[in-house]
Amino acid sequence: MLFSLSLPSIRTSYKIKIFTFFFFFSARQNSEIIRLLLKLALGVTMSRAAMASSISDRARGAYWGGLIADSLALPVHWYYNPADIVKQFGRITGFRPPASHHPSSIMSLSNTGGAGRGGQTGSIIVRSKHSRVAQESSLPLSPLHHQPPHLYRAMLLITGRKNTGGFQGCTITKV
Amino acid sequence: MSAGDNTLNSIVARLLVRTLVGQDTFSATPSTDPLSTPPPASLLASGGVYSTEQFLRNYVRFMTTPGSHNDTYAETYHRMFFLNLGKGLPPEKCADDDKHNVDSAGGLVLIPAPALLAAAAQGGAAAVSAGVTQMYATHNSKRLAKFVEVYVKALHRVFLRSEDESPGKAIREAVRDAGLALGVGDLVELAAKTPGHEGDLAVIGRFGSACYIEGSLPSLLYLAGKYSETPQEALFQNANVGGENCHRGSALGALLGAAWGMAGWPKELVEGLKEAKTIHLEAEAFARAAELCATSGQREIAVKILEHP
Repeated sequence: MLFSLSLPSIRTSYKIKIFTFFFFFSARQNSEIIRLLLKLALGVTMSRAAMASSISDRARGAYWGGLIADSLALPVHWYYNPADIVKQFGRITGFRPPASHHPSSIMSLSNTGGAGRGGQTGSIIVRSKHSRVAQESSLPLSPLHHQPPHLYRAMLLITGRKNTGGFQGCTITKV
Repeated sequence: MSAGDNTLNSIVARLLVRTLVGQDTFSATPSTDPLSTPPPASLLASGGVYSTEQFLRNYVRFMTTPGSHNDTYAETYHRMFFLNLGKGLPPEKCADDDKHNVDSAGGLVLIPAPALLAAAAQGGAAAVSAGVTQMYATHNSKRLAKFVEVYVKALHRVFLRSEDESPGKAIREAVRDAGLALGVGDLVELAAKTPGHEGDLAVIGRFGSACYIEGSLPSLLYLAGKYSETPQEALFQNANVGGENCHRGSALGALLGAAWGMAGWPKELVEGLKEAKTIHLEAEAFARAAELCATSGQREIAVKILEHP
């Protein structure tokens, strides 16, 4: 009876069958079955809590994993000849700074005015005053930094991954 | 840049996570790093509400703020986006496609965070929808969307593995399914019969070590399958095979971490990141958001993602 009360939506014919099912067992067996059912219900609740905790740990792991992997690869990003990695770094097994020379940089081939490869006279990418090359070529960049962000229009500020070859110079048009 | 730094796409991924957990403002003062400001404590506790519009607003602001990051390279997708913005298009219309460089591993870097929250809340279909929605905000490529779908299905598979299934087994199952979906065969079987570093170089050389997605996703999956029991080794190997390893690695690390949780990453790697203290706050806020998404009655984040296709 206790069991059928806990399932109010169950059809009467099934209640009778369940009641009959319990009737054929001893009181001791019945209490064991009930204990098992309670354990099962508790288990579902427990596993939901465990799942929420797993999910937060896995989300955390995914976030850190992406950032760790990116940073491990940073010094040897675009090394298309793996032998160069061995030559300059041995084997990467931790965070390392980039070397002063990048043997296979494709940065100088990148189009600074749009997609993919191309010339470096475009103004989508400009150098900031912090850039080594900008300082060397004395580009008149300082005034730009005093303007509010919306005046920068379509402009990416590129400032200093110093290992990667580098652009040959950018023409700054209107900002 | 120095040891423990992150490259531009990963920094933008951090900005996305901040947006996801409700941190939609940052200091625009030149010479300060917007990401160095920790998110407010209240947001850490409450999760947040997400839309790609909000992300794009933050993205434009971040990319046009002097001194906001220290990378020297911006992928094609950024350049095309800002070319369009310069023409006067609204941010939500700026994502573009050059039919070549946009379809790259860089397009996977922003996918895991919204896809995982959606997976936690509503499962696989929502995860794919959130991932593809996020992709279209910056990459207007139907072709790339097909690869994003395969990647998110793998991510979802390992993220919601049952407690009884080991992370390594879940990864191998996900990798096998993804490889077959991409038409590159059983990558787990391939990994099992490919010994050592030289073998990895040969396989990745064949798939392609460059950014192009048709080679980089199979390479990523191959590494995940081969090093499914040793996630840290997978990331080392990803770096050591060279090529476009930063973006491939980012998506690989997210996939392995989604299966292993923090048990996959040794302390020295976690603490060795230059911005580790701030990343910790973001990670905790993100983990809390995922937990809220998984708990009944707290599904707002994923629902909001789906409202902005």
